[in-house]
Amino acid sequence: MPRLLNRIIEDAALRGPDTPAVRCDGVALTYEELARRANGLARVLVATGLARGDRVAVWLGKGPDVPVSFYGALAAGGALVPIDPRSPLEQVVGILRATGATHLVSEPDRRELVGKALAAWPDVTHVIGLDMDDEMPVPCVPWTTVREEAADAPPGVPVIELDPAYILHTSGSTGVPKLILHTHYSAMSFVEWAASEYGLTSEDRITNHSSHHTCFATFDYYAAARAGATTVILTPAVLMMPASLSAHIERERVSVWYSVPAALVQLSLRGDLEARDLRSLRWVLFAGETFPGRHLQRLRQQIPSARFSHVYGSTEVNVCTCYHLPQSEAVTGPLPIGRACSTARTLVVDEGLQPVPDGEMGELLIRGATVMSGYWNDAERNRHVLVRRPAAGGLEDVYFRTGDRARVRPDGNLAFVARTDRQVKVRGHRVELEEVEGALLSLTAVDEAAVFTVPDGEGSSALRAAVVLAASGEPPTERELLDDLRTILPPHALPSEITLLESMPRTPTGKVDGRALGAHAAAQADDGE
Amino acid sequence: MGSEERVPEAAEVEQRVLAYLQRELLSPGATVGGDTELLSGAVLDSMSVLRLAAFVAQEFGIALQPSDFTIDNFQSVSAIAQYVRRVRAARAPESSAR
Repeated sequence: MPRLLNRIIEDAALRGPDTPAVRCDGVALTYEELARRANGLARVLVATGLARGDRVAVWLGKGPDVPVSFYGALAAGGALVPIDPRSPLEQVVGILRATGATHLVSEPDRRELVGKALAAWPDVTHVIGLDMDDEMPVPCVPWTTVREEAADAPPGVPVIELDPAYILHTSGSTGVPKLILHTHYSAMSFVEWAASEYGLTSEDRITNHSSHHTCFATFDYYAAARAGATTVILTPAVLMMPASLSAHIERERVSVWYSVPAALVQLSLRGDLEARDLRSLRWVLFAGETFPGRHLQRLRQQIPSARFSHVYGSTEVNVCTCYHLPQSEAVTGPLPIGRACSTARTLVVDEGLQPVPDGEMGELLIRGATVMSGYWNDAERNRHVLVRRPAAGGLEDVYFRTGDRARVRPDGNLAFVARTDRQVKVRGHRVELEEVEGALLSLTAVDEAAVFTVPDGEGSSALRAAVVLAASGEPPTERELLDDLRTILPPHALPSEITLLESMPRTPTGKVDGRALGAHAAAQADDGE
Repeated sequence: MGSEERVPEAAEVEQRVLAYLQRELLSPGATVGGDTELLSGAVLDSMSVLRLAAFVAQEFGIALQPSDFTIDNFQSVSAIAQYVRRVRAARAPESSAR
């Protein structure tokens, strides 16, 4: 049987038609209903001209329509482009334009925004999920029609596992997000590994914590469905209120959790966990950032039933190494990122891409089944990050350069050391400092900008900016600068504070003095307490 | 620091919270009323919600407990007002001093 993502729910619907595929805010959708609705959407997409490989952008808030859209786009032979529901309009238009999306799946709540996006990017031919009206420049097919089209069988578009499955967007250093193409093969390689590694079954209830445009969601949706398990979609309201979240976990009998550490730190500090019965939780997976030791230790004591797994990877390679914390044993010292998954090979290399001896630091390269095809329409970057190394038989292997510096520890586990560039993690979100500086510099009032991180007090980082204003014009306030930035950057990339400076501190060589800026920020924090 | 003895009126709490939202947290052009859903993700992000909770605690002299971080308490400005009044009535001001 071909390993296609959309086949997952066909199988699940055959094996457990009445098992809930998703649960969200009291609404449940069984596998049979999900498959039928996805088939309905696929039929609508094909009938409105979608051809194999065409891009289907999905711009939705969290909810049961998300998996319907995912599987529907895939069953129609399309390449799925999930959009961060919190992305500002400008970024959404940039993604539509860069991927050349012909179909957009959305919802009535976003009607006005969709209209604006289509005005800026007219190549979308059809919108699914909105009622037709005269103001919309292209034909619309409402969700009611999609439901009327629900069918037992998909439209039968021939797709092979090496065809594109989805394009995910993540931080980019130039203002345009990086667009990462995965095939059915690379996606399924992760899905099958994850379902097997964590022993997922149809009894499991797996949270969807992260936004559905991230690689975390490939676990929450596809790996869950591969096992016929239920995905419990966590809505923004539940995620913002830790005590409600923990009550939800208890009520929904969640068994597997996957998120960034920051979400778990918040749950541990403010989730009232002592008042909850969380014995259903058997696996807690976290990735994206280092889990601060004392917070992790406390969380493990709060949820003694669960095993904890530190998984490592990036949107480009999905998960490629993992470290399962030893049960009922405190972990001292920094947490390793573990060993290569059964889908991957790891290699630590020097600047000439030659392997370094174990224990020495170098850049981590990944070769494996879960590695992306490449960045969409970015041959130059692909040449830089997908490198070839000689292999047996006069052939070559392709490796992905992670940009992470790592070393092999004496116990055989890999340890993450640092980045080779200015990419940082802000509460688990990937942010390129250049991107934020570029956004600031795009404002006419800003002459110079430097962006840096400071500790956020909960084991992660917060973004800070320092700017020198242009001499001409009415000087804006910090608040006005932030409001302007909001129209360019997603919420996680916004500096939490912007300091206005007379001049930028510089080192004797003329570089921005990051240390002086950090010290300045720390001194201000002291004054404030 | 807002830790006066009396339990504040709901309208007064709402007004102070709304003013703070407008001043510090909302994007330009965004308007909220007493019943606007604050936690939908469209109005505030998660960091803003934490700042809002910290403001409410300081402004009305409440020591936030983990069990206070619920949707019921923070879903709207009027819900926050009820929460503040309930807590202020139940918890003696001296026990909420930091």
